Amino acid sequence: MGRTFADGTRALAGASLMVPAGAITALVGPSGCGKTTLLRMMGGLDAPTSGAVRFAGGARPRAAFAFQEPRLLPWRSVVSNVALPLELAGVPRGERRARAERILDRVQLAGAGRKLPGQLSGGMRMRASIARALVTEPELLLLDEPFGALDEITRQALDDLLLALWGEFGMTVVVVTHSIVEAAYLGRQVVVMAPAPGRVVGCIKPGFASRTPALRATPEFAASTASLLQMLAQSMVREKGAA
Amino acid sequence: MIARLLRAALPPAIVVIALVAAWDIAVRLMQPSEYLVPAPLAVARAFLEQRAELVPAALRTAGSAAAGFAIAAAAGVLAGSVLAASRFLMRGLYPLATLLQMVPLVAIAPILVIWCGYGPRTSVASAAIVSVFPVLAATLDGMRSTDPGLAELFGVCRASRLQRWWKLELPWALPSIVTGLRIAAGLSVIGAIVGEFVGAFAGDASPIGIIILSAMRENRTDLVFASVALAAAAGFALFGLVSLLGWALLRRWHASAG
Repeated sequence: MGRTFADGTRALAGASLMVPAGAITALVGPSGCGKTTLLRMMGGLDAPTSGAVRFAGGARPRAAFAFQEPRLLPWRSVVSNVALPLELAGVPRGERRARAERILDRVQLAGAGRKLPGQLSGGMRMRASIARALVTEPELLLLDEPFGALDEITRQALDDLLLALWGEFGMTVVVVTHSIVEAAYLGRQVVVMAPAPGRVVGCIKPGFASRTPALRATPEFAASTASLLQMLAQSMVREKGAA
Repeated sequence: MIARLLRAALPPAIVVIALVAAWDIAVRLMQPSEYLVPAPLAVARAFLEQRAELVPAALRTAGSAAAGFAIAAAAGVLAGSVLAASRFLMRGLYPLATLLQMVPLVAIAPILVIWCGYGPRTSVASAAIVSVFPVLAATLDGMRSTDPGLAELFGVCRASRLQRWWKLELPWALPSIVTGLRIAAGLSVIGAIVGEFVGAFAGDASPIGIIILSAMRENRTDLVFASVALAAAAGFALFGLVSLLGWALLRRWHASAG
């Protein structure tokens, strides 16, 4: 796929990848490599100028987004923020409340439903944002650097939460990140991208038996992050050679 | 809460008392004619003697101002929303609205008398005209500054135009709209009095504008001062009500109402 913006910027040139259904795919790369553009095209927020996005079932699956910022409405309580997609789709009040409460419980925000976003910590706001994405029970969950603005410890906790939610709901997840550690930890498939113009430079499939916090300290994990780093470094060298 | 209010009211109260005292001392020292500058006590006396006439008059003026303000609030928010929704309409109509704002109200007032006749309707129209623009401009600005991330979220959720307006743009613009409404509240009293100057009769139901004019013709400067003070109090009350309403709407989530 390719995507050239109206101002002539080639955000993406010849990026091609397969996203396996029901698995987590991580897109990793430096800023300007087109990973967000790629994600937006998967969700239908943007269209490729060349090539196409195709889905195994034919039709576009039900997709939900979560962004780097939580994007909560500051005047609404957490529970009615989470229920917003249902509200906009015309789901009756009682049902959407119940569904929002249920999903809030799953992201460990059961007690915070009546609070306003301004009263929550950054990590809690992000969990509310994930809950809002999950409340419509999407088949495809698209996450754009969802935990990028959080501190490392909160971020690791949310990575584990995301894995638990994925284990429960089994949706296809595509997560854009610029953290190599996060990409290797979350991704069943990790796609490495490079900028100017945005392209896919490689793909690894870490085959860890289980993903628990202890994994981050194992040699296999270090080996997979090392190979990701090497891929990124090689793409940079090639770029310098071309210039 | 009460302690906080008192602490907030104390500095302006001290300033007002000091100004009135300075006024009194100046009148005693320089002894201008009563016709030019009456003493504060003379103004107070004029108010007490004429209160049976002044208070209902001020209430009539406040009523016209409030009615005009309400019309301006509704029309301003509606027009601002429409202009914010359409780039074409905004480019086409906003400069025109700005231009209309430049036309002095006193100059249009006679036209209002022709259209609305003598009586409170002219005052209401005049109050509405002078206070609609700040509401329109504030609504337009507030809505156009809607967070693009939130707008995108509503797009992802396939929100209808109406849902987008009611659930995102209007609440987002509310702090700005409240500011516009507060400016409009003060202006509406000015507009009502201008309307009374050109379009009201002296009689049983005189509004404050007429009292000011007739007191002026009778060289009762003390009564003019008392009427002006009362008109200012009406404007202040309207402003206070709008501020209170804004605070109640925003206090839970917006920093401006902290």
